[in-house]
Amino acid sequence: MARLLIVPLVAGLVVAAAACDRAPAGGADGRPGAVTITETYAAEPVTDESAVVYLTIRNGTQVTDTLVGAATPIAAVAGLHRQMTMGAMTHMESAGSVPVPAGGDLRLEPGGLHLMLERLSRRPQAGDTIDVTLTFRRAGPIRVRVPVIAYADVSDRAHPPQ
Amino acid sequence: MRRIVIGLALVTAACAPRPDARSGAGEDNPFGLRGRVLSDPLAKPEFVLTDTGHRPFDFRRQTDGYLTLLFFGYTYCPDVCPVHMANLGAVIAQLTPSVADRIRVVFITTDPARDTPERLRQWLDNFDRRFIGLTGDTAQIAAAERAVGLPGADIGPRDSTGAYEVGHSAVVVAFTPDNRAHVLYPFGIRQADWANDLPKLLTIAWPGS
Repeated sequence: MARLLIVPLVAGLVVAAAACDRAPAGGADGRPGAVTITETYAAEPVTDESAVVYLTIRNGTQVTDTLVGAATPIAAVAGLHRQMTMGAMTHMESAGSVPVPAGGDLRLEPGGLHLMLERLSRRPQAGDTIDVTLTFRRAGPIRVRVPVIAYADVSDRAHPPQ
Repeated sequence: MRRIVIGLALVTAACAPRPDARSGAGEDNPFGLRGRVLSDPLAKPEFVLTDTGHRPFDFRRQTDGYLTLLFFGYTYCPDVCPVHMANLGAVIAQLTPSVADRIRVVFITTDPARDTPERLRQWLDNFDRRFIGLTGDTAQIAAAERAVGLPGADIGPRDSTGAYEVGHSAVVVAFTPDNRAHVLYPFGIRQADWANDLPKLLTIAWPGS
């Protein structure tokens, strides 16, 4: 019976691989020669425990950089989580540090790599902005302001209509 | 290391912008649905779990004849679960009551240790107070997942803070009023896709039904 589901899901993987090639060549604000952050947003949490943040990191330099940490005033813990595919299943693990390839993008997006804010000191609401500081091995700390949107608006933000 | 096991559909979500049109609206799909139409529909399984009012819920009997949208997830889930539920809540709120009343959204927790009936109710009420939340013991929930053809929940080891992650599949399974599942909705499906499909799912006369 499981075969019924696995077949369409594997087909989805092929679609996903093709879709990854569609990433734009340059970030909206991507300056050459710098690491820049675009497409920031967070989902308004529906529980008190945690909030999730998405963004795109563009490395405009000639050298691979590494995202080594994150922090925000509204949470005691800000950690990267990512998924690992092993066979037919996907495993998620805490991602301590993540490379950002020279001239490339690192995307944090729903269902993939994301920044998890835990032990919140306050629960952000749609319309708020959250200060987040990302720390890179070479570029150092970069502070961004992350707008908070409702979960109902996440799909259109992550997958805008073509 | 905290681990989570998720259905492969999540990988699709990582970068596929629209799993709908290309996979769903081709010649194989004469109904113009944006979900993934199954070539072999799935019979609605029989199982009894416990609802958020602590009452037994007979899935097959109590969803009989409804468009039933079934999802396995958990309330600590960062994005797949709340996004699916928020999208469904927003779209169903726009339907006329006579259409909305023919739809049942059923959310089965894969994390029964933390998702008490009360917590499930509170979480689901963020999206739609009519959504049905079900729980049970781990074996019952795993059996329900297997009955639908989804891999069983996988609960990872606790980390140093006692936290842990739970696995689930990322698809919403749509059982149409003929009590068979004909269509799957992977993560990445948008509200416009649901708005297109939900009325159709109530009226399509499936071959062989």
